[in-house]
Amino acid sequence: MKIDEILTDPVLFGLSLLLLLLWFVAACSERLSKKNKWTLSTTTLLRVVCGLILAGASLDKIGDAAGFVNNIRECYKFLPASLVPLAGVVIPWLEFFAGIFLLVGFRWRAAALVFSALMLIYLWAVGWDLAHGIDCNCGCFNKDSAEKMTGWTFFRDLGFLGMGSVVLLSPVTFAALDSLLNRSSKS
Amino acid sequence: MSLGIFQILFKPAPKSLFLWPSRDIARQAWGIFVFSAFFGVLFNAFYTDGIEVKFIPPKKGDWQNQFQKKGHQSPSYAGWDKAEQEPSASMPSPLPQTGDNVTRLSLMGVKARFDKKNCVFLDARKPEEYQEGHIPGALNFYGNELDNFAPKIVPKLTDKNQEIIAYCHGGDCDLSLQVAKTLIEQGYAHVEIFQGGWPDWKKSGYPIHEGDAP
Repeated sequence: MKIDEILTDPVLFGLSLLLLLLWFVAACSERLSKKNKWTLSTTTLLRVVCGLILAGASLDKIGDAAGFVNNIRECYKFLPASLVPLAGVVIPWLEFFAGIFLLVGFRWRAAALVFSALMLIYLWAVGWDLAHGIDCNCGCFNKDSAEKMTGWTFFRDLGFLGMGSVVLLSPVTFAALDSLLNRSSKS
Repeated sequence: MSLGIFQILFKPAPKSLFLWPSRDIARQAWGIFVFSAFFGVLFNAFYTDGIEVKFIPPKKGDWQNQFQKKGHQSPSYAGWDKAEQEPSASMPSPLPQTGDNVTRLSLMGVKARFDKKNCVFLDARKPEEYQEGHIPGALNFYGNELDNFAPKIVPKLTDKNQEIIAYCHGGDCDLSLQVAKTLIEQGYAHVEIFQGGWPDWKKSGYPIHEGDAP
């Protein structure tokens, strides 16, 4: 099962989101401290999931920049035409690096900020298209999957934004490159 | 555990659990953005399937030159700018039709425009199918016989800024796309396609009209 298949299935996505939410609530109730194992593992898991989503979504766009630019031009008409090629070149790599940084935990809070900002932009874009009744492929994960833009796309991006915000606001995480670097610089 | 929900709802979150992003985080995020932008532009310059990125301030009618696949002619967006129409129309586009720049509307968008009553519907299906039922007010403009139908239809479309929506059988039917492209070439600025077409409209239970008259 490919990652975009998992993420485009509403039932699976909703269940995993619910699970994460329950986990987070449990984590908060356990003991409210920085060293809490539940909190730590929740945020670590969320961080890795966010990284996988972002890096996975970027690969297809990096490979076919021309197709991505065509998709933006066809679908997201609010973007000024002179910015479209630049956006088509920069956005996939921004997704890629932010995703990889989240995955390995290097500057992961900044990467989570980038993730949340990207999701806000996507939410606005999808909302704009939905409000104007434009019918086209969203080009979110895979340009060949021909996923239509619906209210579900909007809801899913909202879920991603929530996950990104949790990662952004959490102060600590497991298995991050940052803590390793800090430790070595201290000693 | 059941207490945890109430704790979250009624107690302010402790400082140790949430940490608001500092200025350093924002600076690092900006760093990631700048780094990716540099890397992306650099990668694109050396990538064989890269696209041409030009840093030109937006000018009216300038934008179809912004995107050109290396070694190919730019796809034609005829009609959007008259000055650029001839060179792009004289050479066929090598790219598939994904870049045809005709807006596809969903059922919801079409219904909203239908209710506003200021837009013309064109039925690109055969006259027999048009007789069996069409969107009220739609004119028949069969996509395969444009030359026969144009003298009847085009005089009714006097305003080039008129909002026009073409539709056909939906799915992979491209009759409406032909109609839309032809009209755009003629200089009409607001031509759109109803992607779902007649099947979607009929299924939704919106008003329909039967017979020869629009």
